[in-house]
Amino acid sequence: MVHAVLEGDRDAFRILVDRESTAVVRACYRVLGDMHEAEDIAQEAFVSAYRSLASWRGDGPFGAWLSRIAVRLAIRQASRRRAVSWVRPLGAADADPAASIPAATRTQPEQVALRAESLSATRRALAGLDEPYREVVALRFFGERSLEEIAILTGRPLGTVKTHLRRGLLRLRDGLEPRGFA
Amino acid sequence: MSGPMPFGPEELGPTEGSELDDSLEAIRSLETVAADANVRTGTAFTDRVMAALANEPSPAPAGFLLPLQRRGLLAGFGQSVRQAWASIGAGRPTFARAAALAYVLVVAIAGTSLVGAATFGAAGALGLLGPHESVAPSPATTTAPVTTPAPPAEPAPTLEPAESPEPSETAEPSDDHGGGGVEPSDDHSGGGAEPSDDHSGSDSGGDGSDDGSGGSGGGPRPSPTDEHSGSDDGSGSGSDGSGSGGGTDD
Repeated sequence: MVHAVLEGDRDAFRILVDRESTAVVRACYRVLGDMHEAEDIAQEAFVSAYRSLASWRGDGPFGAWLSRIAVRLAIRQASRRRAVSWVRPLGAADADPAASIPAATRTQPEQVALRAESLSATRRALAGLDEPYREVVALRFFGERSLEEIAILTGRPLGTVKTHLRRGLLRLRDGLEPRGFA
Repeated sequence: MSGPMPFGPEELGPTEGSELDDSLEAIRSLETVAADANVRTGTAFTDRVMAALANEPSPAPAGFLLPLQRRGLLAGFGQSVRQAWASIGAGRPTFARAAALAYVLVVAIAGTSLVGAATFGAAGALGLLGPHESVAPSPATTTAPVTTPAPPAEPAPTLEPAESPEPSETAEPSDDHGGGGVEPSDDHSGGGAEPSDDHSGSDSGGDGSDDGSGGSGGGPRPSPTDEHSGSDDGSGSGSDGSGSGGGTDD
């Protein structure tokens, strides 16, 4: 499929977009917490991947390579913007923070606000991590990539990736603790 | 939605108890965020991405050459250059950008050269370049006249030969002709010395009467035969005023 794209077949890339778009947009949303922003970044990731397609070595799944691009762009976007937490109104579309709240308490505005703030704090803590911990943690939990895939993507040994993940999680917890969300 | 990949503690490698607890706390927070994303995309998003890629050149390293291959050299040339120009921008591998930049530069240089040559050729065909070329030689021609006055200067020195005795010697034969010439030698000398214009002057002023011969300017040659002929003609040939002399001969 990628070879077909490299030979100028745009329809082949359309198939790739169809296949990977949900995972890419989801990863971006997990990092950013805003659907419109996530779609913008996901689109940017596809365009960037298309431009750099010739540099893809093919030593891992195409989706993993694409996820790395998307997560990087999303983290960069999250680092840029101000620390503003968005609270979606009840009844909003799919990614409603209140969806995971028990039905009995779902209608309580303070519960919705607290949950939204908790999610936002986690995202901020992740965006505040240093590299390479941030990338490893984001790819593992938001990009849904295995440690083996991350090792291939980043070109690091698996043991090093595990170490980065462990240290990244500890720093993330330290980042959440002062706010009382951990 | 597909939930996050289940996490196993073995993924952390060897960890102590407290570190493991802290890590698991962080993991729970992350999994909460991950589970929150119930995202579905449709064809609208795909269309949006493909629309953004509409003007993008092929991602191949030299993808900007594909239009030439597909549309032909003439039809695909414009699109090829356009895509190469777009490939120079950021967001592409360095090699691809360098290749695109080199292609654009080559096209620009070749285009400039062709346009310049065509302009020059057209100007030449229309004769716009003619005046410039004719102007250049004109100074050369003007300088030529400047130098030409020099030769007239030579005749001036030629006056000197009039004084030279040599012609006078040659004039001796003319004496025979002249016969009664009182001073033919003088006359001849003048004539013989120089067939040129100067000669005439001397003839006319002097005794052209003696020898038309002198005047005849047969003068050019000091040889007696010539002088004779001249004299015979009585020539008015005397362009040099020799005419007068001729008259006397007869």
